[in-house]
Amino acid sequence: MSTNIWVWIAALLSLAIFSYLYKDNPAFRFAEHLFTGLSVGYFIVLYWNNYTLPYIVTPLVNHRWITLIPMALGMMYFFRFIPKLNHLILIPIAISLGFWNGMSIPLTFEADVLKQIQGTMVNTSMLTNIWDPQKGLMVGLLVMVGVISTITYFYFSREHKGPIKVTANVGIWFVMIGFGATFGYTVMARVSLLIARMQFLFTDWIHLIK
Amino acid sequence: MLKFLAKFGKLDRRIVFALLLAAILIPLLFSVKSHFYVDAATRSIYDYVDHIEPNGRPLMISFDYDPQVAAELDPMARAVLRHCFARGVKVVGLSLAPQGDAIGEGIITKVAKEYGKKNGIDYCYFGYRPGMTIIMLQMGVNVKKALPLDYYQTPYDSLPMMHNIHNYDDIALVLSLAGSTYPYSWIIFAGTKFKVKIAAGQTAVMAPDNYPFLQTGQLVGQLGGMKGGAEYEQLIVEAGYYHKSDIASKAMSAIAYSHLLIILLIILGNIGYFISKKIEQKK
Amino acid sequence: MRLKITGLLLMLCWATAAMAASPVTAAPPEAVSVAVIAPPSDIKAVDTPNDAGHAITVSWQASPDEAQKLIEGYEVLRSEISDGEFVKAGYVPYGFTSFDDQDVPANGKDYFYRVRAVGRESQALSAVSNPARASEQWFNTLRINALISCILFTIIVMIFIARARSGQSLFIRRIAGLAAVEEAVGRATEMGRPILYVPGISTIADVATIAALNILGQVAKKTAEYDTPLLVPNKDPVVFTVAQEIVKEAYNEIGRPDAYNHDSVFYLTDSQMGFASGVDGIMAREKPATNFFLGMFYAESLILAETGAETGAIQIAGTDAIHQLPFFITACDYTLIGEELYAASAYLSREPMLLGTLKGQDWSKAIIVLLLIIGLAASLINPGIRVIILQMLRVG
Repeated sequence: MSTNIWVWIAALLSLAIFSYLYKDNPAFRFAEHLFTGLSVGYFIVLYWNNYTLPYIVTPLVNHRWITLIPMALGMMYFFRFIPKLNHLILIPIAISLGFWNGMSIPLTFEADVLKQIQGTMVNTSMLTNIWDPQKGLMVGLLVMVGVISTITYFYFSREHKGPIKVTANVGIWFVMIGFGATFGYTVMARVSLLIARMQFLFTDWIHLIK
Repeated sequence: MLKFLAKFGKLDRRIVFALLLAAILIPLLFSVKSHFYVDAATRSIYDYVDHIEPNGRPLMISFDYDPQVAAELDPMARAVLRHCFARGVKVVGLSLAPQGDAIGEGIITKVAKEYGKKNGIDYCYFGYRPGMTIIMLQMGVNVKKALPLDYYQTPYDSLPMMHNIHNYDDIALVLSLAGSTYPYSWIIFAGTKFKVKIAAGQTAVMAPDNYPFLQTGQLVGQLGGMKGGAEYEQLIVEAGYYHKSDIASKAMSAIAYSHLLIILLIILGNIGYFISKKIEQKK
Repeated sequence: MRLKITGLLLMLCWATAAMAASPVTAAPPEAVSVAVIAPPSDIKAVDTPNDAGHAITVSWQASPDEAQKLIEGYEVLRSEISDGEFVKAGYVPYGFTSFDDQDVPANGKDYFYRVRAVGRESQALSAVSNPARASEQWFNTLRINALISCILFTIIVMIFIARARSGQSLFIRRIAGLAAVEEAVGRATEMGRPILYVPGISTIADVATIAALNILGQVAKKTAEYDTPLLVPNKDPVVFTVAQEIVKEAYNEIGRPDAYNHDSVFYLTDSQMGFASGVDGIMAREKPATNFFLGMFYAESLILAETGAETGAIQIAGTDAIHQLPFFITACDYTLIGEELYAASAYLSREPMLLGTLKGQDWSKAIIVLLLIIGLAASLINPGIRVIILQMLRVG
């Protein structure tokens, strides 16, 4: 058994949460509320230390008056509570949206669209290595068929009839296989979390596993 | 027999929980060993880190995750850090997720101690920096501006290791460990814009999302879930950078048996479902 | 051919001249260390294009000993004078034949480079490169393709929004899940049981939430028509207020303001799992005939859909949260996958903004598929065309 009080607290709280698997009970409720309260407290301290203090208080104390401009813009968000001035909230929203879109749209186009089309194209180096599971021609073609058919499934301007219907049906198969993979990975993720908790309880707490 | 199988269609969830617990605990308690192959995406990160010049450009590791997914990502962080420190590769640590702050510090100082590495000289840790994409973008121009103080409030200029680091060109690789889409943002805002190499360590839930980026080379490699961590642990033990298998490798047999159980339950559950449907139809 | 030979001769002359002019290189590389490895050759320095200055790209021919695995890497050295003192500018491992020196002290000033091959035991220093100057460029020509595609996409979307606004009817195919909506409302009416509509657990800023609220408006019109009870639990206070307005308006539009029940849209709690257990309770007590889970969902998706399935309700789900879709697909009768949710919302609401964007996206998808097919055909017929397409897609 561990002699560390924090390990004990962590272990007992873990057990309290696990007790929900049987049914809802006060121990579970206590742990849940403790966690909610704790995270609220953590975030208050975090926001104060990482945003308010370094970006507002410190610059103002050091007479960097230019800080007042972004601060005023930020304060405009509170106009939401004054019905008469409600429309002014659009100013900070417009500024941040404008910055954000300008920054991310071209980059997203490059990373998500251009680069991905490039990656989907079959290239001649694949011809030398037809069955290679990573870079072979067959994999390249499979990816290409998957991309084209899935896009066809999510194409809304034509009725799914004739060849479009066939392609879209192939597409939905690719989508479902993708979901299957995600589902499988999710199972692994959840099981991993449980294993890690078990390792903690049986290694750090009661020292049963060496 | 049919009636027995039909029962699997509606198995009480508590029985499922109990079975799963047994499938996990038995291999753990009896330290059952399991063999597993190393994924190409893991190996490519390993190979990349293995070729970073010792005492040259550092590896940047970003702890972009919260405690709830630490079980999957901590082993990766430890294994990669061990690989770096054993080879004399310098490390810059930071966190873009609010709760990653203390997680990163705990791991980096513990592993640094194992190898006798010194803060400020062999590694630096900057803790949580708010702003996420703003920080990613700012570091492409000026790392010092993005990370003015380290976790212990030491100014950037007082950290000898950081003297030669101006922007991403001075960083060998950025490894983002995350349970959400942080690596994707790294790809877009650091990789695409500033051409720095990006690698991802993701929880298993998120891992499938990154395959398109692996295929195009926008990611150097990826560590997926606890298995990714275990693979990296195995690679550094094989290469002699570390002496024993760590927590993720030990968990692999429990993962294998619990997966077997789940597969079995899915098959039985489906058989049970169809049989009970047939029985109902007969009635 | 003759031009090439002349060029080669000129280069040879230049190289000899350079060697004669520079005392450092006049001494053979052996002077640096035991001549175990050969130095890299043909060192070229040029201003790094499309950057903010202070960078020069150095490239070289790998040492012939790289094939024998005798080389570990290359050290790139910089100097202001060709025969002056060279300082280390960077290091790259073997296999690389170029390096971007990003720390060039001044723009518009000549710099010279040498590259040292580093082996396990010995080193070999190359000849001096040509002089190069770093300069800054205002426009990154490597990103022209991104600029063009952004402009093209924006224009397409704008055209379609304008067309939708001007009252032109834009065709959108009917989505399979939508047919189920009417059927589901009818079923609830027949059974005399309520309809449960959960508009996700995210904020109003989420596109999925907006889509869910659009569809809620249409569902509410149907429930108003048939006088079917509607239950709309909310997690976000702002979404709650908007949902309330939307349902009220729908009942007014149908001409049944009397049938509108103010308590049918209600606020539950802000806690994620608290909300899930609250909705679970409603499903267990009220036994709705139909459950709608549309909008943004997280880990609670499976809990909701599972409980709903157990109560025997018809379930229609829709979200763009990829990680929750598998759970909805397994536990619900109909699932609107990703963009289908937006499409359904545009289809039902006929909002010009939504319709226009959706049409614009469709066109962009068509262009992408076309490019892929041309690329495939080209690489089979003539690789040259493929190179041109790849050049167009090249990312800076």
